[in-house]
Amino acid sequence: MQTAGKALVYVLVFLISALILSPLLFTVAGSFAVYWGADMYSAGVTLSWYAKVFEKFGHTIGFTLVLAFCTVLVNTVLGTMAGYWFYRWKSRWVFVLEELLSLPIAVPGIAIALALIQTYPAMRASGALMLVGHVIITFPLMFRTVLGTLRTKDFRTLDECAATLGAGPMYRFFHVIFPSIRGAILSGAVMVFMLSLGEFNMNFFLYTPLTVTLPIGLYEAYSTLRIELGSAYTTLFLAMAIPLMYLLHRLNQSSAFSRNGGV
Amino acid sequence: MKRMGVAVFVLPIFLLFAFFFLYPLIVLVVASFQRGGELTAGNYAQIITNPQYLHSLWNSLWLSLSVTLVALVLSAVLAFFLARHSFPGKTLYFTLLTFPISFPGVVVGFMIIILFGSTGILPMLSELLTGEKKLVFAYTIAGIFLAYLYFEIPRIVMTLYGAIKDFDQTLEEAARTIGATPWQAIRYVVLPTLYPIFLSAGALAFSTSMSAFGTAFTLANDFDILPILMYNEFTLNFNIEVASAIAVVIGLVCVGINLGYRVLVEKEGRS
Repeated sequence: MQTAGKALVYVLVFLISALILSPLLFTVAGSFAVYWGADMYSAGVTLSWYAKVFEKFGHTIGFTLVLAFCTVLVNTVLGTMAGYWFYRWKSRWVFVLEELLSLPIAVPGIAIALALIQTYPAMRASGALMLVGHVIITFPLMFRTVLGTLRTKDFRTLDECAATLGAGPMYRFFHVIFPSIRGAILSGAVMVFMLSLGEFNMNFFLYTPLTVTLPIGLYEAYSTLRIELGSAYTTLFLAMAIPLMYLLHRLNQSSAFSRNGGV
Repeated sequence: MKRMGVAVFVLPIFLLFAFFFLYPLIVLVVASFQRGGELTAGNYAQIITNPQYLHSLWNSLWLSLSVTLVALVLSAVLAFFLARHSFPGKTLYFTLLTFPISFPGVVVGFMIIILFGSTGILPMLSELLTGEKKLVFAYTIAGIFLAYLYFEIPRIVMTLYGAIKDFDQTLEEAARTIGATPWQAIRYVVLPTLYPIFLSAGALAFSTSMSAFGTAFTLANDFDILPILMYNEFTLNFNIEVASAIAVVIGLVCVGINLGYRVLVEKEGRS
């Protein structure tokens, strides 16, 4: 009975691992094959699918990186300032407003996208609406990380100490608080970047032919082009996401990250 | 003056939220109650009365619920296994297993196409072995179900793993000493203690499934769910008011689940 139970656990663990990991392996393997099939490498190995991806979709990679960097930049400033202020502010409204600023985690991206597109249709063409949308949905990640770190340590004493010595709020922020929360800001920045990089649902409602992001390009490749090209394109996405995800694990933030983002 | 200096820190984000989050959501809700310039609840009534819409609502609910339950069981097995065994390369293995939390839904869909699409690995394998192409189910409900498992399992494992690892094992050992089988110890000692974390993981998984769009869209088939119906109403039928009503329904379910489980857990914590 007990050995049967153990065997079942091993079988389940194997099957789950196979479901999650094997398609990743086949994707990477298939991206280098001349021809995708049961005799995968019989026609040889090639990099031509990657060349085709860069030729057809190179601009999407550049655009996505720029968009993600801008989102990180805006949220680093806004999230840090808001986190600092919430940490200092004493009022029963703090919790209500904190919930409000965390709401984009709970509201589905497609609902926010549909709301944005009908409220500000004129901002769609420039890509500004997409940037604003990304800033809104990734803001809680930066804000909560910074605020959480500030609350775990006794910065108030340091802060008040600096205040007694005559330092103003701005000076205290940049010389007392900021150096202590650099780690939190880095964690937040990585998470914001990842979420922006992999966002599809919101982009799909807001994109125009001039603002195609990497996940939108992936969708086009999957639905109209060969599986080898789709594999090469996906492998490029994986190559960007794996190091970042590894960094998140090292920073102990992958659990916080897993509560965000739609699929 | 002092107050002003501090308010400068937080004013930008409140303005941004007011203009680009709260106001658009109000616009969305107002649109959902309109039809041809008239105030009406007809769009919502349509979701409940129109058979096709009702079907999508029903599909979304049972798909999300069943995937969440299956994923909770499988993830619990995996999380317990990982928390209770150590082997070389475990960190790497854990990192790789939880890596899909960073995938957009389209990539999740592609993973299922790689495995079970018309030129997928398993259909090709079955053709080699039996001469007949079988297991092509990426574009059916079974494919969608597997795809949802694919994005839910890493998310749930991520939540459960830490809690299971931190669980005081002496309690479990105590139960074992007085004669409980390993399964009984888990069933009567571990699970009752950890149930809030299961509730939290389940709530997250359910709302992620309810609002999932890209995954099902990549596997494009005739299985209707609310997010796809919403997209079709918006782009194919230009019916932004009905699309808004569907978005509000999805949003309310997700926010409601999120608040609901927290109230439940807090209540439990107090008593």
